[in-house]
Amino acid sequence: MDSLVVKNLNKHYTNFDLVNVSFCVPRGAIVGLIGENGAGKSTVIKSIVGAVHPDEGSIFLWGKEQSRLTAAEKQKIAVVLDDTGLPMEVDLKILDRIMANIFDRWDRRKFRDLVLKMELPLDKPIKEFSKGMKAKAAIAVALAHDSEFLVLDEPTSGLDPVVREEILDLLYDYIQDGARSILISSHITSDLEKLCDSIVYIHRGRVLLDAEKDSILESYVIFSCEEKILKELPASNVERFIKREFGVDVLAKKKEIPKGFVYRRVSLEDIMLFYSKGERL
Amino acid sequence: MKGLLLKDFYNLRKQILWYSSMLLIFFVVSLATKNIAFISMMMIMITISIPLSALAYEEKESWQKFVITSGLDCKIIVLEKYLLGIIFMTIGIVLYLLVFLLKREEGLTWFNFPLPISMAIIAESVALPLIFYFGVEKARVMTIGILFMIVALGIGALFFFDKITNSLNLLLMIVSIFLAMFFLIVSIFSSVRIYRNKDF
Repeated sequence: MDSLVVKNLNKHYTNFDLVNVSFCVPRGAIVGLIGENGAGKSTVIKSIVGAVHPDEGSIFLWGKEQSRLTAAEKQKIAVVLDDTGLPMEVDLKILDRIMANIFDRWDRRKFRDLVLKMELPLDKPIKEFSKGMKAKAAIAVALAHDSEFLVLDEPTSGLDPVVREEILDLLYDYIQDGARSILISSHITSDLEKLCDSIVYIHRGRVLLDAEKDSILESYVIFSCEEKILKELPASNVERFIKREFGVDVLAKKKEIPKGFVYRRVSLEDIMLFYSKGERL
Repeated sequence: MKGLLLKDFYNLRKQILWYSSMLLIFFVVSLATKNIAFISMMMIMITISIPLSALAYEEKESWQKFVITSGLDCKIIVLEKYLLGIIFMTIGIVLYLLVFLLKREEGLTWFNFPLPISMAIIAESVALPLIFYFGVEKARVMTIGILFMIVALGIGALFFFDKITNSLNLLLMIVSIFLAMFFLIVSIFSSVRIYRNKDF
């Protein structure tokens, strides 16, 4: 059974629309939500966790409609927000006491262990933490209440590579038992490239790509050529192209590359770049 | 509910200390001047200001976005803010009661006692849905306006009390209590509805 199914999610804002967003997160999988800033990733995440009310569409968690989840079922979802959402005036000892009275299955020992593992100070107010420490504290809170589905909105944004690596390790640990799932949004695609099983790419409020990460990275390649050569290629061979000063860069399906072209592997960042800035033939 | 209250108490430690000092100062001033207006005004102010400060922190820290994802019911999240105001109002009531017992002006009877409490409840009942709907920044000006209106009404009523009969005072007391209860109930229902439909 899928942990999460999102079907035809629509949300209208004055300057932005989320249009028919659909995807799923299978049990035991890590799904990455990628997209530029303002693409709609946070709106999707907030809709899933109930902080935003979509205009249309449905969200199912473990086969049950999100609006029908009981309090206990809702607490099986752990959330890490981009701005942590934690009370800044308190230290982690007090935060532990607060959370123990909010979450039914709060595990105080686990929280203390995580805090120790992350080398976070227990007696210092959270407002005095660095950005990386705040992110780690938010993750410690999310992991300490026995959840089955972890939703993270830009958890590694603005963090140095060492802290990002530590956070990714914690996420690997979380998924180890095979029954839990993760949905993580980020515009740092290199992190998701290491971590995720599948990728959902959102561009201007629409899902442009929803596929297994390996299949994306294996299916597409990039090559450079002159513009006149590009025009001679069959349109179906060219996914997107970007004009450069001397020639064009082309994103194409690997199996449709004409013979003799020198190509290179794509990264998720390339995919995002080509889909957002590139043109169709 | 307990977790939310704990969070607010810890988060607002400095503000609570400041408001408690103000409450004590106004208590002493009321005793010294034999005037319940000072302590009752502070009681009304603290009933609104503490939940307002708590919500200001929550907005700044995005706590509301976090707590809505925690599985807690909107009713509990909203009721906690009412309760927070009422807890501090109760501390104010104790001090107000002491002034009333020890040094109240001549002409004031026990029929007049509930009026400032009703006003504090009405003030909170009007302020909280506005804050939930408009957010702290926009609602702050409206709340200050409400506070001024209520304090002006209270001072006017104090001048009025010693000129009216006991039976009219009794009627005023009953009306003020019913009005406060009515405002509180309508306010809680409205706030829960606003909170439930709000996007964070």
